Order: sequence, then structure tokens, then C-alpha cells
Amino acid sequence: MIIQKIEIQNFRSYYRENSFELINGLNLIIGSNGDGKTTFYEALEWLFRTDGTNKMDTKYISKKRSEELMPNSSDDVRVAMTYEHKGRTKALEKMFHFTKSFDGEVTTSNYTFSLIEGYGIERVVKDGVAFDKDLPSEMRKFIMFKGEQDLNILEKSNSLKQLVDEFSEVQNFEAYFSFMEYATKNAEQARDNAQKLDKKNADKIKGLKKTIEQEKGLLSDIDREIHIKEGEAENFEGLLKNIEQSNEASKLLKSVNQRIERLSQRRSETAGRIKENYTINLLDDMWILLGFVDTAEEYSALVNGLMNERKKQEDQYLITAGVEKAIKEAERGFTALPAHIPGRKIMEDMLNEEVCKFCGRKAEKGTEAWNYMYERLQEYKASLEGKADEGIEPLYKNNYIDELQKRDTTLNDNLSDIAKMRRKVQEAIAFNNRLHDDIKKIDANLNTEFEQKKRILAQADGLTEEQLLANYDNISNWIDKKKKAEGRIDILKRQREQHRAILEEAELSLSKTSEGTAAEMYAKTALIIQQISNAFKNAKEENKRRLLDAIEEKSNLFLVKLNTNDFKGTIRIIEKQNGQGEAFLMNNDSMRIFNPNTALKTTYLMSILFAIGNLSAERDETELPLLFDAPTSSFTDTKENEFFGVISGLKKQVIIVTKSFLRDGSNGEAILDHSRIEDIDGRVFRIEKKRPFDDKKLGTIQTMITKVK
Amino acid sequence: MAENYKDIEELVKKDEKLIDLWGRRNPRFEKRYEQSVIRVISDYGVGASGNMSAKGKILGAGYEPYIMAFFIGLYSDKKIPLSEESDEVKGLGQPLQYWGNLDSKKNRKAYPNLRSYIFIALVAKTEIDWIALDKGDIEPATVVTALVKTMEEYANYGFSVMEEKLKEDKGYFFSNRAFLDMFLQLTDKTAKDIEQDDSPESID
Repeated sequence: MIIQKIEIQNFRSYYRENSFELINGLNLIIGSNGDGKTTFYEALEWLFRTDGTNKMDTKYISKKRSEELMPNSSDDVRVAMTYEHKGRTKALEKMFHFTKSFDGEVTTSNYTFSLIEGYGIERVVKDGVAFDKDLPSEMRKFIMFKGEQDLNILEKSNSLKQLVDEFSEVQNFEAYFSFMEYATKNAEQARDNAQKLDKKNADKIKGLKKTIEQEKGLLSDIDREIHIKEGEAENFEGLLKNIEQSNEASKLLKSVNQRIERLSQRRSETAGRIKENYTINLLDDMWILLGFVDTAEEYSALVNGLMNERKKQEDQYLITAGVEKAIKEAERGFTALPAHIPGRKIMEDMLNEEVCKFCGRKAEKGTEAWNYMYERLQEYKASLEGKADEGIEPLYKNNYIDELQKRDTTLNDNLSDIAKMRRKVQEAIAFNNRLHDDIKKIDANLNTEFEQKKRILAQADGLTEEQLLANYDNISNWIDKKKKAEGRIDILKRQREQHRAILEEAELSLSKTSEGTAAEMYAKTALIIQQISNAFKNAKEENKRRLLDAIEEKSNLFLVKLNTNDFKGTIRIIEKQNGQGEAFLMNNDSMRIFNPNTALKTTYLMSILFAIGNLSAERDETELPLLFDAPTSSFTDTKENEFFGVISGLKKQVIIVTKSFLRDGSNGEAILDHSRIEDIDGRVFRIEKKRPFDDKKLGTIQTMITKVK
Repeated sequence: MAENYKDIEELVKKDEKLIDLWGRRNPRFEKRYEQSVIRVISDYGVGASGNMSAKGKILGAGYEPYIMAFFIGLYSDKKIPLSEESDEVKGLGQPLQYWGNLDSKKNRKAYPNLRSYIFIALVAKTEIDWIALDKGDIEPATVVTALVKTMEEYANYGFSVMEEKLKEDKGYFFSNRAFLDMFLQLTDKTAKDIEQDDSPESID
């Protein structure tokens, strides 16, 4: 489609008839603020409206025209476009009548919207709605753009689907799809009916059918899960996209926080190792004995002295006592028999019978002889109790010195530990002091990290720490979940392949089972129909992917042209699970560029538009024109010249309404910069308000059109 | 038969260790230190199950400041006899045999063995005719009384030092190092001569 002429009559600032003769290439319509640039764009919007809305409105009427109109007279508002489409010239025309009454009221009437084909006798007038065939209403968003924000067409819902429908053959598949579904069902029914008659293979058929049913069930489960997982993966991808811009800051913060956490942990560990409960150590660990060695030695000396003294006195005593005993025995005149002779029984008998059985003499009770025997018995009894010390009384009744001595033995065992106690205590103090030094160092590091953290937070555009951390956690979490979902999708897809293979084999086998029977042909037919149906399904996906690849490839070619001397990145176009498309720029390290500058954004989005337009040309042998209203407001002069240079070289009809190429004149008015215009390869119009005008009266405003080139 | 009973009694007495007799004693201290020292740094008089850290005290039972006081006296080798006025002294609630058992304290260890060392020090530092004791010429109770007296006098000196420190600085003993530094100084042989000049004079 090539727009040859645009006529605007009495449409707002376009007073009476005006026309733009356009060329197949770059068309620039240059005007300053209020000169009618946007009105030009709006006039076309109005013309292209095929949905029957906003037919007539007094707001469209040129104020100047309606004011100058004599009462009871009328004129037309008309916008028309002559264009060439597939070798034929057509005119689209929209108009209505407006009449001024005697009391000055303006009314509208006689709305017409027509598409006129041919000339003279062959002239055919159709309803303007027929224009949809040449430029489908959904496609208009791909050719008309108002400002730079409007360019991201893929963000508009459904636009990818429309692109796909428009530019791939998918749409044509839909009818086949429903037919194939119907055919498959019928073919299978026919096969089943035929196979019911095949008694011979009944069991085998039953088994295969069961397998087929199972596999179909499994496959549908897998498909469902794949769908869910793809949704998940895409959801997390979307969340990531929103948040990744602050990822850099939160990553830094996270690592600082990790270091702070590590340092704090080390600090508390170190502090925990400090054991300075010295007062308690004095008791619980008996550090209080650190000066005890002197006392211990004093004690040992005392106890040793006492032991010696005790022994000495005892020996002395025993000697003295032994002498006394010997004297006593000498006085008795003989040395007595040992105490155990003659033994207790005999002795007791002798005492009872009052006779000495050794000498045979009587020894009556109370006599000296009887008393002697009684003493001997008592002596014997005492000896059995271990008391007999040959009659010598022990010197010591108590063994307390022994107790002291035993304690001394233990004390000596412990003495070396006690002697080391002082050093042990000093080592503990030194150890704790070292830990204190460590803590001081850790504190210094902690300070540094806190400073670093503050710096990061100060740099993070208004995000609180919580937000940044939440971002980081979310990001990690989402990346994780996205990966999981993608991993699962991979597994599921492999499973799907396996089950598809099993299913196909079972179906093939089922078709062969009835070989030689009447059911054979039905089964084979059913199989073929199934395979065709599957081919369509795959082709649809394949087609879509191929279309996106093609747009991507072409977009990147345009991007290179539009950004010769600039960083550009690479355009990626993907389909999201919800069916929307997404285009973004990638760095050479496969990292997504989230905030390209406006000029870069404009050029990459335009590249996509050009690519789409290019595709439409390939398909239809006709290329759609592109209409931009002020797309280059963020461009520098050089960039703009470069940009227009590229566009004029595209051999593509582009109509750009812009206030570029104007400079301030001596009276403050905008003057066309002819030197820059000269470089432009294309048609140039200058539109401006007719002077003089009253800036308070709309009725004095009229857009004048001058063809500059 | 009456003689037999006496024998049994003697056997029991003979097998009893002196330290056990000592362990049943409750050493005394001068009442004035209860307010000025013991209650300031320990849980003395506030109930058995209290958590000392909750009350901000550095020591647990009342015998702990007593042990500190005793060792200050011991290492300083200075004693002060207790007041002879019976209403100016009182005995610690816990007999010596339970000192250091500390079974109800958190984050504390028992140190029952310290008792033996205190006993050893008392034996070393008390003038006693041990031969006479073994001969039975003097009663063990008399000896134990003498040992406890030594303990009381050392502790009495120690309390006076602690009181002095607290008079200068109420929080003196709340420093981890206060007691430890005191003991390190008292037992530092190289510094002892210099330290002695600064120490409060013994009334002994």
C-alpha cells in the first residue's frame, strides 16, 4: 500500500481544501507547536476508523470556516486518501456536511464513508468499511504511532497474536484443524467398528487400545503440567524483569550484609570465648590456690615433724614399757606358757572342775591356783581380740596425725598443679587479652562494612533496605523457581516424546493388527488422518516460531542501520506463555538491557516495526506505510539526520510528522533549517499557521501547507 | 557391760576424721561485715534459690565472701581476733562441710575440694600440740576450736581489707579483676615486700 495523496478539508485547523502529495519513501511534514501536525495525524485516525464510531462531530469542523460561513449556508468536512494497493488505485473518503443556521448554530448531517475504486464508468463505490480488507483495523497499530511511547507494539495485548495471524499461515490452519479433528474421530470410529468384527485379534486389539488410552491420558496430563510450568516460569520471569533493575544494588548490599553477619558472628564467637569471670574462677576452679604452695610446704613440714616426733615418742614408750613388763615377769619366777595353751575349752573345764589337769592338783575356786587359771583364760580371750600387747598399754589413743599425714600424701600429689596455678591464671588472662584485641580488629572491619552498606543504601534510588533485601531474596527465589520450572519442563518434554513414541507405536500396531481383514483399511486410514492432524499441530507452532525468528532477524538488520555509530545490542523477540510477545535488547553477554536510552529504545522498536512492515511486503507484495507523529523528540540533531538518512534509504513509505529541522528566527518565529533539509532524501512539507492570527481566537487559525521539496 | 558401751563410744570417736569434726562447725564473723561487705557482694541473707546474676551480686552463698576474706588473711599472713563481745559476732548459717557444694547455682561449678586446702592451711597455721591430741591428752573438739579460731581471725582481717576497698569504691569488687588482682599481688613473691608497705596494718 502506497499512500499517494491525503486531502484534508475543513478539518479543524485545515481550512478549506488542502492536500499532501506523498511519495513512496520518506515524507516529512514539518511544523512547530500548534501548526497542525497532530491534527494531520488525527485526521487520518478519523479516516481510518471503520468501526462506525465518532462519525460526525462539530469539534472536527474548522472554526475559521464555520465562523465565516453565512447563515443558512453549509460546507463539508472531508478527509480523503488516495492510495495504491496491489496494483489498483483506490480512494478512501470520509465526510459530513455542516450547516450554519440563522441564529449561528452549526449542525452536522449527511455522513458518508466510502471506498472508491476505479475511475469513470468502472468507478465502484463501496462502504468505507471495505478498507479493512486492505488495512485490517488490527494492523493499524502497527503502522501509526503517536510519540515515542507508542512504539512498543508488542506490549499491546494481542498484538503478537495478530501479527502471527496476519503474517504466518497459521490462520489458514484453523479450518483444517477442526476438519482434522472431525476426520480423526470418524476414522477411529470406523476402524473400531471394523475391528469389533475381527474376533481373531480381539485380545490384542483390546490390549493396544488400553495402551493407547493410557498413553493419551498420560500425554494430556503431561501437556497440562507443561502448560502450568510454562506459566510459572513465565510468571517468575516477569517478576524478575520488574525487579532486576535494582538487582545490582541489592546484590552488593547482600554481600555486605553477609560480610557483616560473618564478622558479627565471629565477634560474638570471640566474645563468647572470653572467660573473664575471674572472681568465680578463684572459687570454682580454685585459682585462689595460686599462692598456696608456701602453706602446703609449711603443712608438709609440720606433718613430717609430727610423724617423726610421734614415732620417736612411741618407740621410747615401748622400750620403757617392755622393760617394765620383763621386770614383772621376772618377779613371777617363770615364763608363762603361750596364751593359747592349753586352749579355752580345757581351761574352762579346769575352772569348772576346780582342778589343774596338767599337774593333777585341786584348785578350788577362790584359791591362788584357780585365780591364776582364770587370769590365763582372760589373757587368752584378750589375745583373740587382738588386744594382747604382751600387756603393754598403747601410747596413742588417737590417730589424728596419721590423718594429717595421709592428707599430706594427697597434697604432695597435687602440689605440682598448685605450683602451676599462677602461670595457668596468667595464661588465661593473656588469652582473654588476645581475644579482646581480636574483637577490636573485628570491630574496625565491621565499621568499614557498615560504612560500605550506608553508601550502597544511599545509592539505591529511594529503596529501603528491606525492599532491596526483599528484592534480592525474591530474585534468588524466583530465579530458583524459574529454573526449577524450566527443569521440570525439560523433563516433561522428554517424557512427552517417549509417550508419544509409545502411542504412535501402539497406533501403528493397531493399524497393522487387522492386516488382511476388512478393518485393515479403516485402521490405516485412521492412522494417516491422525498423522496429518499432528503435522498441522506442529506446523502451527513451527510457523509461529519461524515468524518470530524472521521478525527478530530483520529487526536486527534495521537496528544496525539505524544505529551505525552507536551502541545497539541485539533485539530478542519471544513469545510469553500468555500469548503476548515481548521484545527486548540484549547485551553481547546475553544479559538483558533494561533501560536503554530513549533514542536507542525508539530505534529498536522502530526496527521491529520496519521488520514487520517488511514481512508484510514479502507476503502481499505490498508494503504498509508507517506513520509517526514526533518519534524523534529524544534524538540529537546528528542522530536525527542519520536516522532520516537511513529511512529514506529503506525504500519504504514513511510519513513522519515532526517539529525537527526548525530553528528560531530573529523574531522568535520558527524557521526551516534549509541546510539540514537539503540532506534529506525525500519529500518535505512545511505546515504553519497563516499569519497574522490572534492567539486568543481559534477562528483565526488556519494551517498553510507548503511543499518544500 | 558398762565398760563395753564405753569402748563402743571410743571406737566411734577414734574413727571420726578431724576434718569431719571441723566440718560441722559454723565459723563466725563480726556482724558489722554483714552489711558492709558480705551482703554487698553476695546473696547472703536473700534466700537460697536466688539467681545471683539477677541481683547483680558477684558471689553466691555467704561463705564465698568468707573464703575470699580467709585467703586474703592467709596470703597476707595477718589475723585479727574476733571481737570478744558475743553480740558483735555471729556464725555463718552453713557449716563448713557444705562449703563449695553450690548445687543450686547456675553456671557455677562445685568446688568441695577447696575445703581440704582450707583445713590444711589451718593445720599449718595453728599452734596445736598434735602429739597430745593423739595421746588423748586434749580433746579433738579443742583442736577443732583452735583451727576454726585461726580461720575466723584470718577472715576477720580479710573482711577488714574488703571493707576498706568498698569504702573507697562501692563497686570495687564488681570488676572481674578485683579479687584476682588482689590475690596475684598478695602472692607475688617479687612484689610482696613493696606491697606490704601499702597493706593495712595488722592489729594482731
